Amino acid sequence: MIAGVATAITAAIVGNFIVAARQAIISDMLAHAALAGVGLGMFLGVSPGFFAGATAIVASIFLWFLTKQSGRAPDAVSMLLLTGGLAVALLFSHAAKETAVSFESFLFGSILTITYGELLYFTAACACIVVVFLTLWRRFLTSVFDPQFARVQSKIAPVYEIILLVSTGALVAVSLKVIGGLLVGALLVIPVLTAQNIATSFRANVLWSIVWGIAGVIGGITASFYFDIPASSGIVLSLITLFAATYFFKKLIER
Amino acid sequence: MNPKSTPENILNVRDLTVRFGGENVLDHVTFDVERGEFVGLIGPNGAGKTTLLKVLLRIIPSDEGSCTFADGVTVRYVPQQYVLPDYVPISIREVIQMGSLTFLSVSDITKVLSQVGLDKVKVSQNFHALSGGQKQRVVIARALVVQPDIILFDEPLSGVDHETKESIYRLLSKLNDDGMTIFFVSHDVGHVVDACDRVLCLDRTLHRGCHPVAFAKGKREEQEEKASIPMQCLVESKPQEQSKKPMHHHH
Repeated sequence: MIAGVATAITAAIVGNFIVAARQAIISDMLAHAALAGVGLGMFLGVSPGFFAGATAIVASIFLWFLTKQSGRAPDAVSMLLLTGGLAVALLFSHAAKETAVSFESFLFGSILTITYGELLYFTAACACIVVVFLTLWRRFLTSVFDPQFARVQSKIAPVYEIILLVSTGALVAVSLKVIGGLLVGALLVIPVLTAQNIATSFRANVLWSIVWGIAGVIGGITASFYFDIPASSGIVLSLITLFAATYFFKKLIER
Repeated sequence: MNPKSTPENILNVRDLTVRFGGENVLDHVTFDVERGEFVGLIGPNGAGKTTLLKVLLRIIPSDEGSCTFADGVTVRYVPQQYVLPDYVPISIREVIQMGSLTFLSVSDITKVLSQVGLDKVKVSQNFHALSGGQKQRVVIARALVVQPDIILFDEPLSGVDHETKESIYRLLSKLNDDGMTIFFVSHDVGHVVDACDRVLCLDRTLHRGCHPVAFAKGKREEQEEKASIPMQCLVESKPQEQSKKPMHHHH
């Protein structure tokens, strides 16, 4: 539960910048790129978690280079890295057959069976990411809304673009084992969309997405407890329910 | 620093040349802008206006020549039709904050908003709920908030109605009267001639000693003529139209 709430808060903050930059798909891309690292770790018999982080960060730097420096379409580059990550992951898992770790646990996580040590490490990582975003808030805001303006304003603007992507990569990588690559994608994007039904400023949108994210996590885990459904499906479905509810509520008020 | 620059010159452009695919998009462009001037730049489509602006803003490099702002000069620009993603809510305050690397208080923001004639809006209001003209004023305020020495405008009034256009020209003239140097790129010849101290006519290179209105009329006729020539002839003769393409896909 604590891990879920920590992710909800971090993902809401990161997600707002990612959605504003029209990069929502990168969460999925990073999850799959990180899988390649997991595969490599399994193959070499050393910490898959470390390699997951490393490949996610390398993938985010590739993404930055191909989109910002060579002007390729971000969604297309994301697909390239996503399928590439999956292919590499498959290759290594094929090579390392006799391993006990399953890929599925990295895609869907295991939020209900997390150990105390994992929880501590995970919350600390989330806290670091939150600090990075709060410190560089204004820089990030300018680079996602108006990258050209940011670059005219400051020569080091590209550095902030990279930090933004790398922090996102780090969040996805540390979330893999705990809540899973797919669930972190849902927490990055759905609460942001839900908040957009209400907010009139970017800051308000971030605060509302934290609220919706936490509500979704608590609702989902509660549902999984009472109805005996997988926790991750419970969370994603309650996030979508909240989106639908606010959407129709907004439409109703607008009439 | 360019040795030729004099203290009152805020911008020196010398023999600036930019090539895309072996073709000169800008060809030895030379001009100065003095502090306090309101300079207009006009030219037909494909004349290199946007390219020149991008070189001034250091977004793209030049192949030859130089463009130098005087030491310590702060440059800001107002882009063509402001395209913030409208699916993301953002307040007026947050848009203006983008203009500064340091934190801006509410009073900083209301001050700059009143400078652009937006006294009545609330800083917490959603930017996307504003009209086109108001949005453009907010974006001008974003450029003004750091009190720059010069503001570059890239056809900021395409797609706004006549009345808004008039009122924004009045605003720019007022800012210029208060000492702001303005470099204004536009294809709207009539207004530019009225508002600016000096108008540069660009068609790859600067045309000196011709009246802007005559220049624009001549260029328009030339372009219309080109358009009326059957396609085959155009390809067999000199396909000047094609030279526009590299400019757009470059960035």
